[in-house]
Amino acid sequence: MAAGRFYSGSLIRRIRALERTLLLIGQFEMHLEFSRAPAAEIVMALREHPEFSGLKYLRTCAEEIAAGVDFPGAWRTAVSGCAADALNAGDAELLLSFGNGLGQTDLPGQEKLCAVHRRMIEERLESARQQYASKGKLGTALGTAAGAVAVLFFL
Amino acid sequence: MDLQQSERFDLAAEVLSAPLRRMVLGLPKGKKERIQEIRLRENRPLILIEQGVPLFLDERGGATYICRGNSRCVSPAELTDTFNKICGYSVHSHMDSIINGYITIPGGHRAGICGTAVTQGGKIVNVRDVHAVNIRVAGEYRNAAEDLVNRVFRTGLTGILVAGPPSSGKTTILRDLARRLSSGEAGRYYKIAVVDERDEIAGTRSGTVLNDVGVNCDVFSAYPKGEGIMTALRAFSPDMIICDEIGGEADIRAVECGVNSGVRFAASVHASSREELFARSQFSRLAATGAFEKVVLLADGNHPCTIREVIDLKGDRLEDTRDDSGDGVLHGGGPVLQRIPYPADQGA
Repeated sequence: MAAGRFYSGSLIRRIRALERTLLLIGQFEMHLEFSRAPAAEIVMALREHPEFSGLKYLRTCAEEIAAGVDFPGAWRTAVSGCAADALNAGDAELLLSFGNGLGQTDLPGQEKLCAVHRRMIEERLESARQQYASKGKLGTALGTAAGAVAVLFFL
Repeated sequence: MDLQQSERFDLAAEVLSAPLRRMVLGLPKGKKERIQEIRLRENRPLILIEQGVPLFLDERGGATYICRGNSRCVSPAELTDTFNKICGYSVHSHMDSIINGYITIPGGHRAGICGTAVTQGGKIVNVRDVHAVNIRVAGEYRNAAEDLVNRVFRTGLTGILVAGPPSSGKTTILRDLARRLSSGEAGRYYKIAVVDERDEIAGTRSGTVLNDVGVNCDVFSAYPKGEGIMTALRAFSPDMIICDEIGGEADIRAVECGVNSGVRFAASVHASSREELFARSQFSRLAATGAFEKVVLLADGNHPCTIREVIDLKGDRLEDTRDDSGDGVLHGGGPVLQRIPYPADQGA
C-alpha cells in the first residue's frame, strides 16, 4: 500500500513542479519584457515569490548565484538536482535547454525561447496529468489491495 | 568605495575569461597602476596599453614591449567567454549598448565591442560574431577636480563644458566634481543630479552606485540624456546637472529647459584643442543655450585630469593657462599655477 501511495505521490509532486515551472517561465517572460533584467537578477527576485517556495531547483540556483557563481553554472548545478522536485530526466533536459538559452540573444529571441519552452512544459504537464489519471489512482488501489492480501496472509 | 588604481585594474579584469584573468592579475602592482586598456582580438596577441604603449604577454605571463612568436594569443572561446561575462550572461539586457559599441562593466570601466554589424534600413540592429573587445580601465582620481573646484567654483556654481581628447579624464573629472559639490567641499552641500546614460560616471550596476559621487547626489542610471535631464528638473530640483558626452538635439533642448529653470550644467564634449572645439557646430549650439559660462580644456591622454586651459565664454578670456614655457608650470594673469602631476610621474 505504501508503495502504491508513494508512486501516486511522486506523480502528484511532479505535476505540481511542472505547474510551478510553467508559472516560472511566465514570470521570466514578464520580467524580461518589463525590465530586461539579467537572468541572475530575475532568479533572485523570483526566489522570494511564495508560489515558488516549493521549487528546490530555483532555491539552489539562487544560492549558487548568491555564492558568486555565474548564472549558467548556477542553473546547471540547480537542474542537475531537480530530481528532488520529482522531475525526471526529460524534464531536466528541457530546463537545461531553457537555462542555456537565457541571456544569449536579444529580447525577441528571449521571448521566443520562453514561448517554445512554455509549450513543451505544457505538453509534459498534460502527459503527467493523464499518467496520474490512468495510473496514479490504479497505483493506490493496487497498493491497498496488496496490503489487504498481506494482512489476510498473516492472519 | 575608495580603491587604488591597481585594485580598479583587478576589478576590470574580472570580466576576462579565467585563463586570461589569471595571467593579467599576476602582473606587478606598479604595472597595473599604469595600464589603461586591455585589448582582446580573436586569434591575435593579447595587448595591454601602458600609458599609450602596447605591452605583450608571453605564455608564462611575462611582459614585453615587442610582439614575439610566443606572445599569448586570445582564443575564440576565451573571447566569447569574456563577451558573455561583460554582458553578465544577459545579452538582452545590453542590446542598446552593444549596438552603440560598448558596455559599462562594474566599476565604471568601458568595454568596447567590435564584431559584424547586422543592419536594417541602414541602421545597426544587432552585432554578431564579436571578434574584438577593448576594456578601458577607469580611474577614480579623488583629486581630479580639486583644481577645477578651486579655480572655477570659488564663488558658487558655474556652468562648464569639460573638453578633451579620448582618455584625457573628462569622465573622471565630472565624477570627482559631483562628489565634491554634493559633499560640501565647495562651501555648500549642493543638490547634484548625474544623468549617467552609459553608467560611466557613477558606475551603477544592479541598482548599486559603485563610485563615490557624494552624499547629496542623485544618479539617473541609463537614462537617455534628454529624458534624464527633464526628469531631474521635474522631480529633484537640482542645483546642478552633470552629464557626459552631451551634444544631441534632445540633449540641447533639455539643457535649454534647465537654463530657464535656473539650473547649472557640467558636461563633457570631445575636442583635442580649442580650435577643434570652436569649429564644431555642436559647440556653437551648446554655447548658444547660455548654460555654459566656461570651457575647461584638458591635456592629452598621457596626462589625464590635467587642465590645460580655462576659457571664459561670457567675456574676455579669464585665464590663459597654456604651458608655453615648457617648464611644466602654467603661467597666467593670476598666481602661478602648478600642473596637476599624473600619478605615474610620481614614480608609481
